[in-house]
Amino acid sequence: MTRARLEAALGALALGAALAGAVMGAGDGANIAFFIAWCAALALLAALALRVPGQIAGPTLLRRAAGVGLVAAAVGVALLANVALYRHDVHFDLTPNRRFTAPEELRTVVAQLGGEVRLTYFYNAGDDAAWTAKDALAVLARAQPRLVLRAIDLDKEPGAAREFGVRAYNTIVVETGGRRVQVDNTVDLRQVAYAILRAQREGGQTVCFVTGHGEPLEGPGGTGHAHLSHEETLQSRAAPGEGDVVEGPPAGLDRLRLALAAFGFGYRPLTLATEAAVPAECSILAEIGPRAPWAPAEASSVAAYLGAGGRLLLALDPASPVTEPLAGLLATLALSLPPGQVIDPLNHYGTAAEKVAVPYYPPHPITDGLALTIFPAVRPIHLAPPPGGVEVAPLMASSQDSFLQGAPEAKGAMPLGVAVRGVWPGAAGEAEFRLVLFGSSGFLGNEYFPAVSNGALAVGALRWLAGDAAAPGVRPPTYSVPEIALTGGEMRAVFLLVEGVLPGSVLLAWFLVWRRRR
Amino acid sequence: MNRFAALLGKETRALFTSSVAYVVLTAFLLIMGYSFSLTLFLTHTPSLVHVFFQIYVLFLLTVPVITMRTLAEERRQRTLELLLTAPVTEAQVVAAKYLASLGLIALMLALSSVYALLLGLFGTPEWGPIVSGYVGLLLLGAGLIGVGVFTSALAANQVVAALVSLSLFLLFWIIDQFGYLLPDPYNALVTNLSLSVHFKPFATGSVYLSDAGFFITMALLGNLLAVRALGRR
Repeated sequence: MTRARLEAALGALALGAALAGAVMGAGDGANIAFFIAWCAALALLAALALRVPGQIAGPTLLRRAAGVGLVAAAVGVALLANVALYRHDVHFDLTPNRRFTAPEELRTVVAQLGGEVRLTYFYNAGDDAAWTAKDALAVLARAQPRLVLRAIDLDKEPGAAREFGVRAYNTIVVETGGRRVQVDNTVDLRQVAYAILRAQREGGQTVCFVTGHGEPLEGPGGTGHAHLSHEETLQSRAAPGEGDVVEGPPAGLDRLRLALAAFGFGYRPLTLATEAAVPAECSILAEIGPRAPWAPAEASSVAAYLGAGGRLLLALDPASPVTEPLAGLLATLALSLPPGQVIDPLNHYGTAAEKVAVPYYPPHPITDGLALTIFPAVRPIHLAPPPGGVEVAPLMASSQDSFLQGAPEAKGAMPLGVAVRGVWPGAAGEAEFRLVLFGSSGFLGNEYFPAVSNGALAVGALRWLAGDAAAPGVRPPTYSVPEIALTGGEMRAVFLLVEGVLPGSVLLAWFLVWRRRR
Repeated sequence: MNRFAALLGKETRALFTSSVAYVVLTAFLLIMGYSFSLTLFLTHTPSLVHVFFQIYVLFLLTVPVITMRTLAEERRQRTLELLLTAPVTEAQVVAAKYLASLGLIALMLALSSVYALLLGLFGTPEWGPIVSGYVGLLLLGAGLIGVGVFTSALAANQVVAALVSLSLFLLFWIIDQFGYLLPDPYNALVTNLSLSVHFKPFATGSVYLSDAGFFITMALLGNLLAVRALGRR
């Protein structure tokens, strides 16, 4: 292409883009067209400036003045061009919180809606974040006909607010199937996603946490103290509630409890020893990290509960006593928990081989889509062929290099979690029971709950026990800063790659070039 | 165009057969690799924001080293006159040297993208800010090289060229700190000359076309003035 043709092409591009911008009028589209015109015009001006002769005839003073004048003109044009661009600027929001895009949780829930869901949003017109939330909801509602949105300016329609019993700005009311869930004062659309899931749930479900055996985890009703704080990061806080962090005892269950509440589960502590039977309101019974053995009567009432179609989560770590009543209960399903702690030199968290990491899982609804899970102290589960009518599915296992503490010679993969379903052996009815057994309890505590996929595993297990199949891919809120957890091997691999392989490959290329030149 | 392609090939070969490119690349990768892995291991955060700001500072220091030899070296070896008598224009000479240097910057960024891939492998980083950060760094590099080539065209000595470039970069790095000393609207003008002010939004995922325009202007102006400086001689 000749120089004149290039200049003509640049001129045509600048003119065409400017005209297109003018036709579009105002808005981002027009400003993008203006930006294209700006770039082409600037390049054209530079090309034309090159045509000015480098040396002009005349006295020295005139030659210098011409040179200085050309430089001053170029700098002046550059400044003016930037001022013009500044006045027709376009902004692309690539921020992590994506202010104008509904969060993934809400998009997933809305995409999988099975029936009509009505959202009524009483927004505050003077609140930018509320406007943003309203706009994002409108975009979603336009794409999903089953989501019916009604956005109401609370100041303009106080009558509608009275009709709904709403008293606070930015309140969202979710209605579906005759059920109603209300979230007060929020512009965090993830809360809307969880509210829809809660509204979709037919009948309240309660997780009863067994106490009275010295459970070390400060569970519901325990003495643990937790509070929400906010982690200041480089990312701005776009919405109230966003970036909230739970601060509580490391072994506490506060993060699990908040995550369950977000999915619509109620909870209550249950002193099993003082109850004649497991109360009917307990949709799920959870025993997490006991430190004292169960009484025979407790095991009997749990067996009866399971025989009637109950759901049980058992998280028993190496310090949990698995003696006769509880061991007998598990033996009914051909499960046993040998004593000892699993050490995994291959897959572990950081540099601690006793903190077993699991990167891969056999297919199961609980583990579907999970990344790494970390078990700070875990004991193995022994599986034998289950009795008739019972299905046992391993959920995860340690690596082939793992062994029990004190017996490094006996290496091999060990199951660390199982899901069991079927009809309880010897039960009178045909009701299906479900049981999830983990050889660890620490991964449910505040310290390890946010680690990679631990929270998703915990909530996934409880949702599977509850038979909750709505939008199973939705991850729970962890009330923590997102983190990357690396095993010791992964840390070494990363360091070796970025500090050894990469610079080494450049040095190798240098050596090859040097050798070739010689 | 064929002459320009030949010239660009020659400049690229000259750059990548010299030790400068490999020393700069190795130092860059060692420093950034250490910084990336340390930040990742200590904070466990799937973000490259800190890495982008460190690359930004490293660019201010390494671009003068990359560009100092472009034209000053030709002058020192007395090959500039020979080059200018060849059937190529001054603009083509400057453009070839500019693009060869930009290629090295692009290679540095391409190699550092391994960090982003590692974050993607082990976690779920926000890709928007990562992409905008790399675009911002490429534009920053393009602008800095433009200024560096210009100072190399002015100076007869490589070290002088590098020092002048470095001084200019450091000045435009911190110039926004002095904006408040001036009355309106000069404070806004001075603040908007700052490299930091225009780069920071890119690194955090907030892209303004005016910031891209600033670096494009820097690159064009630097090249134009370099051509004029060559023509003056």
